[in-house]
Amino acid sequence: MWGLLDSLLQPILDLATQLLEPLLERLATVGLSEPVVQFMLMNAILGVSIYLTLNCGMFSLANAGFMAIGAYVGAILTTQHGATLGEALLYGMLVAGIIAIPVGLPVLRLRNIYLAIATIGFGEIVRLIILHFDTLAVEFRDSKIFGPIARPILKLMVEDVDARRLEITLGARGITRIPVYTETAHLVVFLLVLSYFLYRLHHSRMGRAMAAIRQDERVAASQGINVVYYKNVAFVMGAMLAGAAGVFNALATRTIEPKAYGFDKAVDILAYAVLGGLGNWLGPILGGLTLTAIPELLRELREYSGVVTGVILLLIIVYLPGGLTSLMIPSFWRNGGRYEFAKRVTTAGVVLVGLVNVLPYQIDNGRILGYEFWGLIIGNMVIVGLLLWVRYTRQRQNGGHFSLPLMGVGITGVVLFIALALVGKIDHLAVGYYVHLIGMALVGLGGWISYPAEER
Amino acid sequence: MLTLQRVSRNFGGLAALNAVDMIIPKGQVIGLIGPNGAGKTTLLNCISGLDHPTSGTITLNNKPIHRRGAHRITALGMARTYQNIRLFNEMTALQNILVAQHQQGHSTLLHSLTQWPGHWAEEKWMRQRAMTLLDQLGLQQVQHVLASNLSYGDQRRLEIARALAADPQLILLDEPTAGMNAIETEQVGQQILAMRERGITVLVVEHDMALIAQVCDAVYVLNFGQILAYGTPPEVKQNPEVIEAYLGKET
Ligand SMILES: Nc1ncnc2c1ncn2[C@@H]1O[C@H](COP(=O)(O)OP(=O)(O)O)[C@@H](O)[C@H]1O
Ligand SMILES: [Mg+2]
Repeated sequence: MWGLLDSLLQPILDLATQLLEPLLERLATVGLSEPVVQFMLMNAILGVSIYLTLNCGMFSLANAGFMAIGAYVGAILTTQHGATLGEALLYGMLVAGIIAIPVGLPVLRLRNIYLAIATIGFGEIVRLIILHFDTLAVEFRDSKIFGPIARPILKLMVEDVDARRLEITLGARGITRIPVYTETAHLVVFLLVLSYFLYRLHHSRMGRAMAAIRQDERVAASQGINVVYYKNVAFVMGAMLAGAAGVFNALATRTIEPKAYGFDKAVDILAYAVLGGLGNWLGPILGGLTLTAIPELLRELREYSGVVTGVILLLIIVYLPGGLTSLMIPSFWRNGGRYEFAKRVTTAGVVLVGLVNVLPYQIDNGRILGYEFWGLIIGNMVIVGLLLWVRYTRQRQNGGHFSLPLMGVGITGVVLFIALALVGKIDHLAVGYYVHLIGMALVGLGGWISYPAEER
Repeated sequence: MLTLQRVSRNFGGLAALNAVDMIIPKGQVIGLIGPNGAGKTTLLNCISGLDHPTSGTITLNNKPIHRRGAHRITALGMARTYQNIRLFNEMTALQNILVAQHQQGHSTLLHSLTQWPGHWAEEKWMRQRAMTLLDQLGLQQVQHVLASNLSYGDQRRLEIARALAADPQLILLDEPTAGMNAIETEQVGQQILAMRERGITVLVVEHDMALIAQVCDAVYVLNFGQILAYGTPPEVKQNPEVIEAYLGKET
């Protein structure tokens, strides 16, 4: 069975590797080396793992713990038993999923902040058990009562069960010399399969039930939905995904130690989902990718990467509570009438211009942009100023006040950029150039939409 | 069909329900009236499993249900609407109905992942059925509108459609016409009569005595958690105790 699966998957992986090569080269030039890309993809998986529980109305922070379980299962299997990546992945996910069942049954009765605290507790317990696993294992092995149960389990983890000291998780030092099996192609294929899974889940009976539970648990129950069952299913699925990310992580880094999977990691995972948005399964994937990439992109600001990430998160929570993907949902654009719509179009334009200017300029000395620094600084200041003005004048009922200036900025921006390109001031037409154009055009469009109808 | 025996529900010191006895015969439309705070919603919550009685028994078709979870009571053929509208606001009207058909469907995640032919047939059938229901309540125009963006009347109608989607034998309506105008109220009355035509038993909480008189076979009057009177709508209307309860404590 294993061989068959292998021979089926190998050509797909080879193809993916080939297709990825030019992309990875391109990404490396902007500071996203292959290991970074791998971390981005792993974090996208982690984002999805917490999304599965949040999507079912559960504020669980247990994912870092399940990731640790996956990582240690993967590391032990490959170092002690010479397991392949596929085997490590299978068992890592299984163990995480099986442990999730007895954890979930009592814990998922709790709600909101109480659930969060309980699951943080779970993460800490996992970390402490891993830290002291070797001494605990000896205790259990030598105990009269637990010995007969512990022995066969320990046999799976270590060759010589009767040694005086057991070396399995190696405490705070962690497991070293783990073979590096994780390839970018594996992660990409895994994520693609996962995307298909999520897409289908959303359009299935189970997916609808989970969405109903998130929105109103009690009404969902009286609609005939078995709330406890679906919550546990979502929890187990999330645990298995976190386990998979852990396995990939262990088999990519050579060394793992318990402190990498502590509370910090749990909060990071939550941040991926929040940044990307929970309205849509693409959100956590996007969130995991971007939030991992940003500190790498802002190389000059690396010392402050924590601050930068914090500021970005704060801005997203305040201005885009639905996360990045809420921009893609049609209702986000439609709700709230014409001025609200105009404001959103303008916001999108400014976000585009801002992203393309602030982020890649830093990393590539303007090579992605293809134009000079000063021009965009001035352009951005104008736009940001206008945006703030729009926000704070609160002239929602009379959009005419800001529609003309917005239109002016948009049209000037578009004309200026095309002109600059024509006279050759922009040496090559890079992606950033087009994004900037689209952004400017959206700003102008926002102005036009908000222009009072009778004057149009 | 539904029998309540000495059902009580205490919130701390407050007896919201006090030894309520009630019989809802199959196929009838029964009204439940009473001043605000009388315990009508609490009673409906206890019947539908969202809340549980402190003491007493509730049986549906001779099966005790007062200890069951809400989803298991729904499985026995009961559905309800809410006084304070509780739709799934992030879903469209159509999706609200699809969710409510949960127990009519059987397809699992595996069927969906493999795109099993039966899964398609079931989805199609569910959608058709949902469309028929939306049609019946005049909601076909707004099927793709998010529930939170629907007009107030449409939200109330969608609540009824959603309850019907579970294909119930017994339906509990908690003030289905609250906030509606005379024409809309009249339409709800027609809907209730249509339910009875189809053999659905109805328990309806309502303040509009004209509607009660139009649709109900019998009425229970609840006051301070106790049954004050029972009878046909004209009987109840003339009952001096009932008149006093309503006049003494304005609704
Ligand atoms: N969850 C609760 N906790 C405490 N008291 C409640 C709760 N639900 C209802 N009550 C009280 O029970 C009484 C009956 O309320 P309710 O059933 O909503 O009345 P009605 O629907 O007839 O207007 C009220 O006094 C109300 O304050
Ligand atoms: Mg009420």
